Amino acid sequence: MPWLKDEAMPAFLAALQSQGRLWVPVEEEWGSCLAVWEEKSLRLTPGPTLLAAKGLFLPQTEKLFHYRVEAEGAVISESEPPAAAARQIVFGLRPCDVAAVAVMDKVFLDGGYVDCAYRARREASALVALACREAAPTCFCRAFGLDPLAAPGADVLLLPLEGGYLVRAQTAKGEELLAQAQGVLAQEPALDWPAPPAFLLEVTAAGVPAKLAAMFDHPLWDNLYQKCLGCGICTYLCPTCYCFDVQSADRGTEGYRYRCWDSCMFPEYTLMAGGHNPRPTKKERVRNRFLHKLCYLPERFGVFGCVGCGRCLLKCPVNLDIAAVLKKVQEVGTHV
Amino acid sequence: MSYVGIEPERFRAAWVSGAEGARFARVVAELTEAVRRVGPSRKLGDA
Amino acid sequence: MPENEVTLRMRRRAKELLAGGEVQQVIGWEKGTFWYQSPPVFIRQPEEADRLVWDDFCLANPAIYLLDDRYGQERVGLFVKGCDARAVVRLIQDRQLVRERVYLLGIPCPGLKDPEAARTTGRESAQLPPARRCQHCLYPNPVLYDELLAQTVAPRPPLAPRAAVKALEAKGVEERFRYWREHFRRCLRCFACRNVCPACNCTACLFDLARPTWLAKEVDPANNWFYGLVRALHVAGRCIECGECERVCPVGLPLMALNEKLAKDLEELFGFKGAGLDLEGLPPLSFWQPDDPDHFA
Repeated sequence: MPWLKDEAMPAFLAALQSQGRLWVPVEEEWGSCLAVWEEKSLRLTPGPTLLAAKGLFLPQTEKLFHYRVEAEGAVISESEPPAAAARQIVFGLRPCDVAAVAVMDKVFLDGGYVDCAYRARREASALVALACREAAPTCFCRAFGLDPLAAPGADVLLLPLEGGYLVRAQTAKGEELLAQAQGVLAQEPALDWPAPPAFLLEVTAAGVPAKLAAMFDHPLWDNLYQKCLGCGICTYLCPTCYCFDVQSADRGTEGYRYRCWDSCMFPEYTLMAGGHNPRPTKKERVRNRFLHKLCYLPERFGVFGCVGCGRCLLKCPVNLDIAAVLKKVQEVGTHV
Repeated sequence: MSYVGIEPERFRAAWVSGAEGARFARVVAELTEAVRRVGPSRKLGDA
Repeated sequence: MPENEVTLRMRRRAKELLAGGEVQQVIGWEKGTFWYQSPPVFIRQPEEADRLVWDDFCLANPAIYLLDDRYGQERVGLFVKGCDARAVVRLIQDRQLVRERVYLLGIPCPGLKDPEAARTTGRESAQLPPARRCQHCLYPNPVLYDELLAQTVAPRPPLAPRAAVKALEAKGVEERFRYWREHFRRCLRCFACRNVCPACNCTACLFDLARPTWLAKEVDPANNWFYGLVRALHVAGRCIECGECERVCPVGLPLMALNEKLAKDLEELFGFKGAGLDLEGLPPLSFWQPDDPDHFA
């Protein structure tokens, strides 16, 4: 297997960048995110970046089309033909983030309706994953059966070892990427396969979906929600939360329609035209968020809507901890 | 406004009584001229 | 589990108040997932009162939860630090709460620790820097209470008061613009700053309204600025400078540099010492006096 020496990383990244726009993890004063690679900008820390990669496939705000009303009728022009999506390479995704992209794929590609804008961005993207030798304190991907040393959905997987990385192409796209980087790769030295990292949070999701399916009216929800602020931090940092809204910006006789991320934690999310709100309080909204991730998505697509990345654990201002919810669900009896 | 980096010329608070039509017209004309001098504000649009 | 004097008193008083039927619920703090987290907890049964804790990370303001049941009848026992008590005063002044509905258990606050530093450095509590907002707190003792759970503390001389504001004021307009642009462009519009704010107590918020749409749901610099600046101006004179907005912001916007600027202006213009310090002192922008300054005349 090809071997990438630590000191050859910049050359490797340059080889990737020659094939498309290269996003790498960077550290800002306020947190980490993915940014277009510049010399020396790469910063690798345990765990995923604070801001997930989902914006690269589902931008927080995306114009769909412009319209103009003329004498003969309305003229509509698509703003960004999705086919023109620029080729991009996303480097340094952790196994949880790769699994999260797979969840998004289920929703936007396999759910019965193919979202053309999402598909265009996904097809133009290559994922270069980075296995985890060390977990952040908030990591709990193993709860969902993920292997921190593997990323099945990635085009290329990098496994950090002493002095460098084992590099493995996992798809044809990955092989294509590596073909351009042959010059900077060496041959694999004899190295032992590493042990998986140690996790601070011991939790499993086994059996949770089936149990939750009978817990809609369970008293657990009666106090779980109380401390929730009703903000959108958990949903906006979540790498699998894909909900969006479609709105218009009207400017007299012309305007445009756009879609933007939406959050099920906002009251307005379920507010209907007649004024009725089927999820009127934080209780229903919090319950829905956990049921959606841990019950509805597994039922519908066979995947959890949580990958254990720990972003919500890290930033929820009131520590409404989904790992703790998993534990609670396992502890309580389902009889109401 | 100046604190967040918007040119102070774009903002003015003035006290005008309902009976001071001429003063009102002058204040608005002055502000309009001041804004015209700094030109269109592209800061937020291009930011 | 920290079992200091205050914690033990909290638990005892919570049990007594709940068992005696004086309150139906108490709101305080419990230990969270990590040792540097003490999130809010809601206790209804006396036997659950042992979950309560008081430690260096009780940053959350329990008073904001009173808004979730603002028209209710229940009496709530509320543990309040200095800043939390100011929030209660503000809610009462804004007619969101009647005084009789809360029983205030005051905790003179020695200043809390920065949980982010705890997470990133792993140092133990005593070695941690104070939480940012506690560095210039002038009112560590609850300004309104029914009983105190500890001796009052002397306010520490504030470290570099309004340092962020003064540093920005010293810069030029263009530099200030670049500063705020770089910050606001990453706003996620999660509304955590609004939802955690005791001054943001309107029953309906203009930023939520869809018809008409005052704030477009587009997340772009113009709408982010509109949201951030209008919110800051809206809470001017009512902001208790608890710093919760800045603490909860997931992308680290320096929101207190806006709020403190407005507080500084209000102090210079009206001699205003701060919101929620007593039940009588109203925010300067909520009433009018003939001798108000009018430099703009």
